[in-house]
Amino acid sequence: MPSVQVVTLHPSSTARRGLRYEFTPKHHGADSDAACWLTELGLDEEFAIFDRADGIEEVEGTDPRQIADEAGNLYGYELIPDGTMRVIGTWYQQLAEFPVQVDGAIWHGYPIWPLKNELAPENRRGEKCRPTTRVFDRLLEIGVITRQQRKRLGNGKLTI
Amino acid sequence: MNLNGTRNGWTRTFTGAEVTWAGAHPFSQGLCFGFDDGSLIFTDENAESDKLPQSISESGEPVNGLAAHGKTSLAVSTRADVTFVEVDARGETTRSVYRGGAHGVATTSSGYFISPLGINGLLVVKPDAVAKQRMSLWESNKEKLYLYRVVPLRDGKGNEALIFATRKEGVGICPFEGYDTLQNIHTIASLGVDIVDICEVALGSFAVAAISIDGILMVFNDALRDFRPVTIKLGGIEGTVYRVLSSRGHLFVLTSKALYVWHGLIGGLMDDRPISENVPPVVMPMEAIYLNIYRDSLLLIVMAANEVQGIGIESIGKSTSKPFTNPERFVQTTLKLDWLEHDFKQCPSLASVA
Repeated sequence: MPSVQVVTLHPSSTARRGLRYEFTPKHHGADSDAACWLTELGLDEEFAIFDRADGIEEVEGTDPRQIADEAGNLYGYELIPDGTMRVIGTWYQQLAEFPVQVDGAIWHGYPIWPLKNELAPENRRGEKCRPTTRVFDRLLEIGVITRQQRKRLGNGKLTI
Repeated sequence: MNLNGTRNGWTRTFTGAEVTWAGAHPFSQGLCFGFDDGSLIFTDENAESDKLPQSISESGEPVNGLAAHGKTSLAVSTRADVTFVEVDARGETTRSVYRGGAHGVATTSSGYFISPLGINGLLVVKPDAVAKQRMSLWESNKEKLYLYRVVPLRDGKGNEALIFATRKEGVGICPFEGYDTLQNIHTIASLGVDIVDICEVALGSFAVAAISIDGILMVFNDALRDFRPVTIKLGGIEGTVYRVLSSRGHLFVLTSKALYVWHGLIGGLMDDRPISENVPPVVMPMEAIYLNIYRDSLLLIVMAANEVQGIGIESIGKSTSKPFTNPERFVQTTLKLDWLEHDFKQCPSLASVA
């Protein structure tokens, strides 16, 4: 049974751009073919990953630490106390993707492995492999991952 | 690119594209290195070459695996594609591409390329010099089984088997007889044990070693028939386990913090000799991402920095050992092991040919 039964809006919006976020049954166990969040990860933690992906409140002259690809999709993570990335998805994913939305629309997200899926829906075939290398470079740039972890991610390997 | 040699090995430093994979030259003596732009470079056994890198992967993603069969068939994997190259007698090449990501690629003795695709299943290809390469994709019928690593094995009678690291589903095992025979994969798992790598431990047999992310080692004398593998907790290792390999009876474990070498441990287990729990491993602290073995003689270590270290296996002795920070060595342990059967089905169509 999915841990989220109906589409549920989180009461908060992101700190930086005020984006709204909803939890979908599809990515909480309703669809066995869809990437799903670990049930141990609370909804507030899931929102915190989204909030972190959007970046911290802008202070002039500082890096907002947003993690986005060239298309505007956002990517999030959760660090555990030893500084490594927590596994957040049921298929051992350590990153989450939040596909870009038009202005004012509500966002959603799901865990993502850095392997491209050939059997993806027709409308997603031919896309570049995601996350793009720019996302990995960004994670390295803002100090979330080490050079070692950057290379492991690029190779499609676990990075803990 | 620079090469610095020492008595026990060498360090090959690259400039430009980052090295992400190292292994044997697919068609002759020598080495091969893969890079983060999807290219390869072939060298001699001393890692020296005057040739330019060759672009292989159309995605331009980092090379994470390479396998070859005979003198004409090559497969290169990345997180975005698997490229199959056939070389004919005139040196002309034909390429076919599976446009999905893989965790690596291996080859069976019977000439099939096998790629674990994570949750997307298993890619099986028998290379052929035709314009449209036949590719067979197998995926779980019901519960998704995560295929992270695969090692093809062949016993002395010519029987073949595929052994998988399937993360928390444990070690996956299935006989292999070609394209249409993969119907199910049996797994042996213990609750909470996250199997991240496996390796062959004795040529011409189904003997394998598997390792968990936190250093639990499982050694099977015969993975098809041995329902009670020896299980050992490798105490004191630091970091996340990335790789396990065995050669000449030694055990090599690469973690995010160090390379650990247990001299003779696998040989002792295979010979059913009693093992001492007080033999410390050789510990070589390093930041590496990948480990491979060349011809049972040379460790190839791909570093986080843009370099590869080559270390002669027999040169690794106590002189290179660093202080062992944890007094615990290793202990044989008992795990509650559960066997499961996972149905696989062949996907009806696969459009990824070029």
